[in-house]
Amino acid sequence: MTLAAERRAQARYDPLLTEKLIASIGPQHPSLTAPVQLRVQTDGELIEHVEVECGFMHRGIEQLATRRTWAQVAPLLSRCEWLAGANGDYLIAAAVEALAGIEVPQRAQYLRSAVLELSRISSHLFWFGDLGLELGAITPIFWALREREGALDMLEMLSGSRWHGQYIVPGGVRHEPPAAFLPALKRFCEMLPQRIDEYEEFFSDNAIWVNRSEFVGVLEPDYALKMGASGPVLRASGVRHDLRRDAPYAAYGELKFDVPTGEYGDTLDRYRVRFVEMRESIKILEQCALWLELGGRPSLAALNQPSVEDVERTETTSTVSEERPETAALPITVPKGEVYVAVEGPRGELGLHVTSDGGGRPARVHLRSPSLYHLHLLDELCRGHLLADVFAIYASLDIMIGEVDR
Amino acid sequence: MLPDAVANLVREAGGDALLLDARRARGLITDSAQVEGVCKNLRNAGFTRFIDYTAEHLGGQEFAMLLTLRHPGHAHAALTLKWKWLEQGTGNREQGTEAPGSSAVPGAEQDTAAPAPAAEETGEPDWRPREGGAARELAKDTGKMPVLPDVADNASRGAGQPGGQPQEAGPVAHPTLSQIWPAAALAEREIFEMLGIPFSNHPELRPLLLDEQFVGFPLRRDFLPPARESFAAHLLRERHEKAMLDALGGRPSLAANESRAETPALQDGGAP
Repeated sequence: MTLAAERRAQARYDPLLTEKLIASIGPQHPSLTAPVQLRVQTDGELIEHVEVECGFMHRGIEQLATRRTWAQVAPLLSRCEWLAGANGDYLIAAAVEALAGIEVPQRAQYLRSAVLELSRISSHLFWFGDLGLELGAITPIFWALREREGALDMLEMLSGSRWHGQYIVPGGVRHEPPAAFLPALKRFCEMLPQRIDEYEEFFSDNAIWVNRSEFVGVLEPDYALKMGASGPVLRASGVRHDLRRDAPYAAYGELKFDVPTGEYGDTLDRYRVRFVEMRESIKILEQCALWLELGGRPSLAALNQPSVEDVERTETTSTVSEERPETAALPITVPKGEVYVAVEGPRGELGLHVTSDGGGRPARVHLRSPSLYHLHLLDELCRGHLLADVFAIYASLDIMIGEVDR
Repeated sequence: MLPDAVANLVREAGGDALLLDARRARGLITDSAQVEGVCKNLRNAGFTRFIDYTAEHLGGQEFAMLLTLRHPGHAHAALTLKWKWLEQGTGNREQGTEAPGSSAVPGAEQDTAAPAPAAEETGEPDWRPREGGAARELAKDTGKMPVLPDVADNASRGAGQPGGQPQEAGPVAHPTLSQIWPAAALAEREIFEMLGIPFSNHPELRPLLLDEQFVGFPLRRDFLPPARESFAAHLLRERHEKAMLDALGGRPSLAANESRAETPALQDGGAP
């Protein structure tokens, strides 16, 4: 068939002779908070196909982890999901505890739950700000970051660091919280619900937002389960699955909270579910604060931390040599075995597969990233929508590239 | 209920089950050819939620494959299945496996066992793993990630070669699980690039995170991270590369430079 004939044949279906356009979004793009490339094939303004390319921020964390001591793995993992770094700390601590059979005191469990919920709230608040930015509204990010400061201040109170606290350590938590922590936590729990009300008043019923999100990017529950979705994305599609409730860890087994679900699985539902989740997190924090206040002084069992000399020695011996350095001399060894631990992170099931060969370093560490699976839902969710909807859908999935690329 | 039920499912499909406790069930499959059967059984039994799929290099040709699933009715327990996969260079899967009786044709065992030494004698390219395994050799030779032919599954491959030479040289692929749990396709892409385990019938087997030009499998035990060069060495290399590029590009070639350097000397010598 000649080109002209081909064009005529095409014209029968498409009188305007619209040409397909492939818009390459990223890896560097103002709307993307971290590098990822979306190749969007459009027919006119309608999206036909989205191809996702990730790995621009690959740091080889799984490979690095096998060349670091157990104590040095936690900082690597908390940098995978940096908006809620406590999840990474918790995962490696839980893995070591499961392998070594360490019992964690109840008070430490409550403190862990409090830290995890604080980081969930700070992550969700940042997501809300980012969502506003993607849609061209600049106010949410200022409001959200203002409230997030409160949560970060409390994390700083506990560990001295706002993001990557390392407060959760194998065996418990690093130390007893300072006296100012509990009053600050209670004030935060009183303040935040009012602020969330303000956000909802300002954003949730906003006609522009509702028009851009309602029935946009609908995720069917079957498809979501098939493609490995989890967390708020899955719950927005109506599947009531939350590891905090279904497979309780830390102190969640003793805490009361609801698991919100959506109805249609569209962008608006994913937004609503996260807002209800924030309110549920506040409920959990209130219960934790009450328990910690009445729970008395603790006995926190913590693993012996390696001394500075030990860490320095490992640093120097574990550079480029192929042979693993002698592990017997290292202070911490973890019994042989393998374990899969998972937490309900702000983005979904964040899991860690750890194998230990009985030495001073893990033999294999694999992070199960919820965002990896959510990112690859984009093709299905964006199909048939407008090019401008890509950003609304992308933001509603709350994708953390640090966790996808590792 | 969970550990017993899983143990039965694994046994029904011909595998050996090893279960530790109720909260963390462990299944152990000795031969990778049984994997598909066991997985289908599990999916049909309700393990519809794919969680994670990864692998660990145990050294040499041995890999441990780890698959984590959840059952909606028993959400508290994540099931981790573990099985061993042996990297093999040629098409005959009998070589190196210690689990007999799982392959399709009883007579095929003697037939396919013969050509392995014959391949060496005839000077055929020997894809059997040497130091780093066949896939790595392939990567070394071609300078990039191995692009594998869409290999048929192990059983049909062994049966389809009546005592002859292996048709295609290349590592034997692991059966894909993406037909059973579509989400496994992503995890398999990562296993492929990080550990060099190829998967047969995979919808798109290409690197997920690594650069396409990257050579090597970072999560293998024998992987050597590239040494970081010193700044001085970096400058030297840059200068050298620039000189080479200049020489090969539009400017006069290296040979021309040499001859030009020589000619004035000759003239000088010849003038008096």
